[in-house]
Amino acid sequence: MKRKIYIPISVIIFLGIGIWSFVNQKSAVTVGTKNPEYEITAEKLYMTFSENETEANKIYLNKVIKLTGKVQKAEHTEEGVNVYLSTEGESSGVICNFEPGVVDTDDFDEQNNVTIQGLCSGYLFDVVLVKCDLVR
Amino acid sequence: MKFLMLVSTFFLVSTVSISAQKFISKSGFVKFHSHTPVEEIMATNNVAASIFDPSSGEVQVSMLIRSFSFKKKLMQEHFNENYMESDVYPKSTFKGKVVNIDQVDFKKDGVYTIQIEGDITIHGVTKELLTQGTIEIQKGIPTAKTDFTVLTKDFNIQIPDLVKDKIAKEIKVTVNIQYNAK
Repeated sequence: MKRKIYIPISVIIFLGIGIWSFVNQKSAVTVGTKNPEYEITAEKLYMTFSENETEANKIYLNKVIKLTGKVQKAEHTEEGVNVYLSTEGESSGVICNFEPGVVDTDDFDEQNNVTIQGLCSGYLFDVVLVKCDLVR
Repeated sequence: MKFLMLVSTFFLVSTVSISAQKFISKSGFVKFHSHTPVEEIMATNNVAASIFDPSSGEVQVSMLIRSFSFKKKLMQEHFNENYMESDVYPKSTFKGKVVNIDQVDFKKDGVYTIQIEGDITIHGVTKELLTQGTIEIQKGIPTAKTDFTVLTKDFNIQIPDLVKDKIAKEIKVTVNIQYNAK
């Protein structure tokens, strides 16, 4: 008799824990462990957006991108680090935003090539990648 | 006479170059905060872009909705897909001016109180915004700060009945933009 009661109670508890865990899942700090949908240079990504933002959004928006480019500068923001990848002959390029604790500005040397994986959030003056991770 | 002409030319050129200088930021910080007894929701964006013209006081800010970062994954998904529809409305913008720009002395370090007015666009809806803030000048470079409240219903953001108790009707927005010389 007791067993009959225990089984449904256990099921309810496990189900409750499952739902609670799903609802309270923490947002990933980086997309570094995900498989990239595109591998591209910062130059090519920027040119695609600057030529036709609407079309570029259809391809790259909210997609994980593995990006290679030359570091223009790295700076601390209010909460994390922004790394600017330059493009030849343009004042804009790609901004890669890192959440707190992922990298430090010392990890980047100006004019050096780096590979960064991030999630494309769109285009302002520059193409923006968020939740970035440095591919070492 | 030649000296006088030289001096006046120098001042003319200086004035033109000061008035032509604009400030730019690509790493503006924007935070929003919703508080109810049931749930605290907070999201931050560290890649807002802004141009500020110190001579006219004109200012423009734009940000990508998908650049907002939440602590909880499900909240971020609902925010982008259900409430802000960020694939349809990928950006929020502000276009306006600092009304009392003449009271800000860009040559003197300090914190100046400012009045800002303009149009804010969220979720494809544009409303007038009047708010106060500060500009801090350090070695001629400004940092602008402001906070204000927006109502979700003003911007046609539909909150389902099921989560109505979790999301505040008034959302507090905090902005902090450190500019660089353009």
